[in-house]
Amino acid sequence: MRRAPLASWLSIASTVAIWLVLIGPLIALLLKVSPSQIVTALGQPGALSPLGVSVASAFIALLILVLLGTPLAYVLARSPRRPVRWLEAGMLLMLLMPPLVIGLLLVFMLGPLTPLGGLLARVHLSATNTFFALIVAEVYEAAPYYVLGAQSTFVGLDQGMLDQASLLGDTPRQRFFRISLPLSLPQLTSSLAIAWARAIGAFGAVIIIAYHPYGLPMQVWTTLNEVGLQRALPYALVLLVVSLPFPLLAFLWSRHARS
Amino acid sequence: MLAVDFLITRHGQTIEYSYEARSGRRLGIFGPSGAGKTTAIEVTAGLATPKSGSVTLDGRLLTQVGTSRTSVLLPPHERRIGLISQRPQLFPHLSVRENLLYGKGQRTLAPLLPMIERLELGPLLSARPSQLSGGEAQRVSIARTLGRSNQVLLLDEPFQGLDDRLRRELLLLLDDLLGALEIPVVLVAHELELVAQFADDLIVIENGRALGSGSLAALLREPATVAMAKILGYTTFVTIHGSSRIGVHPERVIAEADPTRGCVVPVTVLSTRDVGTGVRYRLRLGDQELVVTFADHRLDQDDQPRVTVLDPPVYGHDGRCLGRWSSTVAFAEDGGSNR
Repeated sequence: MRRAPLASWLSIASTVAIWLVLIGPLIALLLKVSPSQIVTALGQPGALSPLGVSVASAFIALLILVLLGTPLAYVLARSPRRPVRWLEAGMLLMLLMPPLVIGLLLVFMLGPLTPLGGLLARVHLSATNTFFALIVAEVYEAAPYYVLGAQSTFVGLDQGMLDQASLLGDTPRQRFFRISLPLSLPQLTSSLAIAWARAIGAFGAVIIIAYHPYGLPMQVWTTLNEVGLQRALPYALVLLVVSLPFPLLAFLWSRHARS
Repeated sequence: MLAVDFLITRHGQTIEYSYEARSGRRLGIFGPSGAGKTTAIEVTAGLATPKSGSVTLDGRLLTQVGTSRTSVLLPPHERRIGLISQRPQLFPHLSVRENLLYGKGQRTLAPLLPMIERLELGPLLSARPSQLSGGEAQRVSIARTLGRSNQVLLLDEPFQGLDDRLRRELLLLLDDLLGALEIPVVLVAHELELVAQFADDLIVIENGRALGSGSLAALLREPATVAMAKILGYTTFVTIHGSSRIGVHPERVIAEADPTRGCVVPVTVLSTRDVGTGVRYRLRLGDQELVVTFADHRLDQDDQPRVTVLDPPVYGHDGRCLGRWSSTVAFAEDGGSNR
């Protein structure tokens, strides 16, 4: 009789163990929260407004990322020039910086007494405790995930294929929209999905410059502080429910599209 | 007429040479891998910018950089240059039909129908590139490039990686389709056989420099230097008189002694092998070795065997060609030579 080698048992066991450890908090959450608790918590007057705030702000943040981040990623990927490498280093710095620190630095950059804050005030915008501030914080927290992901996608495009498109008569613009973009779409969607999860869950920079209006993460935090764990959990569950399906679907779709 | 002249640095190697391709003729750019052949294609198509140089097509400047004159750098999409490369480069998200019509600004395949028929693409039109075999994909790529009015056609190691039979078929097809096309055609290859089948003219490149150029037949028959002869398939150089050597191409040796047709050389048979299509001999000529296959004749091994090297080029001590073998010189049987 042939016995399965020890190594394969070990690898299966460690895979299951790691999976359980990673997924454990989610299982705990589902065990702790009963459906009636969710209904009660969300049935309170005004309880759903953080959900609206989070979804709307994350959606706008993503829109900004797509419009500004995609061209930036394309330039980062396609240009061999040295200044572009500095841009890339800057993006990495933002990715590595703790969100709390980003929030503090944003106060120094956009606070009411700064030159940029003054400019914003002229157009009746304020980057402190406003919906606008929330969007700014979310963009800062999510941008590196989208831009660096998109950049690596664009880097991976086959130069020979792009050259062929040019020789077949495509201007650089036509080539971008007819070849680069469609071929990158699955991976761009994956990057965008990660950015969505980061934006809607943004907390570190948000707590510093956009304490109000409450999005879901702030709602979880204040409920936890003021009422307690049991009342905060339903909001955590809602946060998971709105932040996770899009990334999951995007991953599944991009895997399907790539195969 | 396409005239290209460039200097460019790639991976620390300087590549500098010029070539001309005449309308209605096929130029082969031949040399070992890494010699700087593909770079010439890229410069011609506007895909790479040289440090200095120019690309002129029928008197019109496509590229002019690094000179005191005004810089010109026409982008690739305005050059009307067709490129068929090693890989078919079909767009994977488009069907075969969409690939064929790509960038043509028209929705009908009607003008392409004869070519589609010739290349047997009809049943493949709605397939995706990922569903095609390597040969099918290359046929689509040929139709896509030849289906538009190019002013120049560039072939960069086409069909590399396909099996021999498929490659021969595709080459014949391409040969037919190019037929009466009155544009310059440039073929880049590192295999002499491919170039010899296809090109009218040849330029030989090594280490980023041109070793020589001219008509294919003239270059192969009389390479100007020993270095050039070696690249063109001459395997053995036999000393005949002082420092003079004749260049021996294995395909230009016959298994009999005929002084009227070239240089008769006594040989020693080192080994023989029946290879089915003929007999392969490893021979010693003076102090050199030669491997040669005779399809229908066997060397007489009992007597002193001799072969005739047909009309070979003769090289002086500096490696330059002195001309062709003249039959007044005979090869002495003791390995030396006399007049």
